[in-house]
Amino acid sequence: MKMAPHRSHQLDTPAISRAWVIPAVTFLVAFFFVPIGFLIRLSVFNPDFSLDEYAHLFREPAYFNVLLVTLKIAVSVTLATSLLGYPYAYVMYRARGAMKLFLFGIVLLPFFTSLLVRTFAFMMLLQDQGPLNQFLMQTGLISQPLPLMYNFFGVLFGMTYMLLPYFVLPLYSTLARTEPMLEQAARGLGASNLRAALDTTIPLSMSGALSGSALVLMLALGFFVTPALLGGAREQTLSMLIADQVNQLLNWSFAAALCVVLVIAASVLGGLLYAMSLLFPSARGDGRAI
Amino acid sequence: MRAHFRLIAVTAVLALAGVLTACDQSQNKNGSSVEELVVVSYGGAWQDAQRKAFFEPFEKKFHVRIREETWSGDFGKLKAMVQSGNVTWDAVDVEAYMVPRGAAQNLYEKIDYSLVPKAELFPAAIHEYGVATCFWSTILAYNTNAFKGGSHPSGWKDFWNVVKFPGARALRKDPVANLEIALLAAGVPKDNLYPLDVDAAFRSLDRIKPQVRVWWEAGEQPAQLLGSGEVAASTGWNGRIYNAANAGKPEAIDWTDGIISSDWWVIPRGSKHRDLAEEFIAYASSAGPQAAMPTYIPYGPVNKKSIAIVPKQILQNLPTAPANVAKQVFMNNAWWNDHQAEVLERWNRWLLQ
Repeated sequence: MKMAPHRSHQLDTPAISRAWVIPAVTFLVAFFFVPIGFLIRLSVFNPDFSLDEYAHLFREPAYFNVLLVTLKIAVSVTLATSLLGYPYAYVMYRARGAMKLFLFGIVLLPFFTSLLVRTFAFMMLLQDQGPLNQFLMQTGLISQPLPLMYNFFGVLFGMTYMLLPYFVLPLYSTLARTEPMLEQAARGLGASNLRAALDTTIPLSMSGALSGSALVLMLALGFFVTPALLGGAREQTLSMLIADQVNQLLNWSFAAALCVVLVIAASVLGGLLYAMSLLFPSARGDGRAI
Repeated sequence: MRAHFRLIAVTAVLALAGVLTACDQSQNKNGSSVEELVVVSYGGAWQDAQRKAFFEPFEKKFHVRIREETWSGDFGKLKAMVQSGNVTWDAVDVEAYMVPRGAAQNLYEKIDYSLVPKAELFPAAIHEYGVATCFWSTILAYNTNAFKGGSHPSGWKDFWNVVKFPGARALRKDPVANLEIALLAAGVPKDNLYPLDVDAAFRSLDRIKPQVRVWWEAGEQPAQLLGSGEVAASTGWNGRIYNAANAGKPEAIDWTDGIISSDWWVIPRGSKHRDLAEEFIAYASSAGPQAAMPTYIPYGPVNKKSIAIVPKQILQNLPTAPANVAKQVFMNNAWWNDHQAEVLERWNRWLLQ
C-alpha cells in the first residue's frame, strides 16, 4: 500500500532506510518486551494461575498509598525540572562560545560521579550542621537550622538536581534545530522580545520539553536511592517496596505484581504526556517547523 | 545489617559485576592446581577481619586457596544463582533472616554437624542449614554531649522518655528489631518477648514516632547523626558506634536491652566445593579463629570457649561478653521468618500515617 504523500517528512523515508530500525526493535523485543512478559507471567503463575498477588495488592492500603506518594514525587520532580530547566536550556540556546561550553559543562557535571556518591554529598550539604544551614545561620537569615532533608523537600531537591540534565539536553537539542530567523522575523514585524519568543521558539520547542519531561518522569518513577536517603518516614516509593520483596522477602511473584502496577502507572502517565504533545505544532510533524 | 545497603545493591553490584567477571576470567587462566574455595562476604572492615581471622589461617592449614568475593546482601541474587544451577559461590556470609527463609526455598546445603564443634557454640548460632559466624547488636547509642552529668538513657524505656532525656531520636526504617525495642520500652519483660505482640508494639511506636527525627537506612547513618549532634539518641549497630567513638566522636553505647543478631555461613545448593566449604565453616566456628576475630572487629564470638581466650579489654566491647549478654536479648529469627511479610506491610502503612 502506498503511503499518503501529504506528510512531507515521510517522503524521504524509503523502505530501505526504515530497515535500519530492525536492530533496535529486535533489541527492545528481546530485552524489554520479553522480560516484561516474564514479569507478568511470574505475577500470575505461582506455579498455578492465580490473581492472588493482585488481590492482595489492592486489599492492603499500604501499596496504593505508596503508589500515590511515588506519583506525587515523580510529578513534582518533573514540574521542578521543567521550571528550572526550560530557562536554562533557553539561555544555553542563545549563548555563544565559551559561555555555551560553560553552561554545557555545568549541566553534564552530575554525570561524572555515581548517583550514590552524589546522594551522600547531598546529605552532607543539607544536614543541620551542613554548609547551607551554617551559611544561612551565620548571615542571620535564620536562627534555627532549616529542615532541608529527611522530608519531601530533601527528596525533591536531590532528585531535581539528579534529573535536570535529562530535561535540559533533549530540550536543548530541539531548540538548537529551531530556526533563529523566526524570532528575528517576528521582531521585525513589531513583536516585543518576549512576544517573539512566545510565538515562535517556545511553541516549536515544546516537543523537546515534553520528551525531556517524559524522560524525567519515567526515571523519577523508578528512583529509590535518593528518596530512601534524603526522605523521611513518608517518602516511600514503590521501587523501595519492590526491592524489599525481591531482596528481603524473596517473594518474587508479589514483587512482579508490584512491577506490573508500576509499569502501568508509567504507561498511563506517558500516554498523558503524548496526548499533550499533540497539542503542539512541531510534534505533529506537519511541516511548520521548517 | 551493617553492610546491609540494599540501596547500594543496585549500583554497587552492577559496577562490581563487571570487575568480578574480569577477575573470574583471569583466575581461570591461571589454572592453578590448588583447590579453590569461593567465599563471599560483605566487604569493608568486616571482610578484612574475616580474612585475618579465618581465610588466611584456613588456607595455610588446609593448603587450599580462598577466592574472596563481595556482595551487598542482595538476597535475590543468591536465589537466582541457585535457581540457574550455575553456582559459583561455596560459602556465603548471610544475614540471620536469610537462613530460615532460604532454607524454606531450598537454597542451601545442609550443614554437616559432625565437623562443626556444635557443643561449644551458643544455641542461637546453630541451624540445620547454617552456622552463625558472629554476633552483633542493635544497641542504644547516644551523644555524650547531649546527656552530661553522668546520666544518660539506659534501656528503651529511657529512650522513649523524652521528658527525662530530651533530644531528637533516630530509629531504623525497618520493623525488624524495632518491634522488640518498642515492646521492651512498653515494659514487656525480656523473657516474654516472643511471640511478639505486634499490636502492642505499634501502640508503643506511636508514642515515640513524633520524636523520631530520622528514620535511618544505611548502617553508617547513626554514627554520623550522633557524632554531629543531629540526634541525641539512636538505635545503631554496635560495631559502627564503637568505631566512631574510637575515632573521637562524642558518642557511646549502652548495652541495656540490646537486640543480639548474627551473621551466618551458608552453602548455596549446588556449590562445587561443598566438602571444602563444610571444612571451612567448621574451622571458622572453632574456638581459636573465633577468638581471633574480635581482635580485628568488635563482633562477638559464636563459640563459648572463645570467650575465655579473648583479652579482657577487647571482651568488654563485644555483644557476647558475659556482662553484655546478660543485659540483652537474642533475636528470634524463626518468628521473623514467619511474620516479616505481614509486619512489613503494616509498618509501611504506619509510616505513611
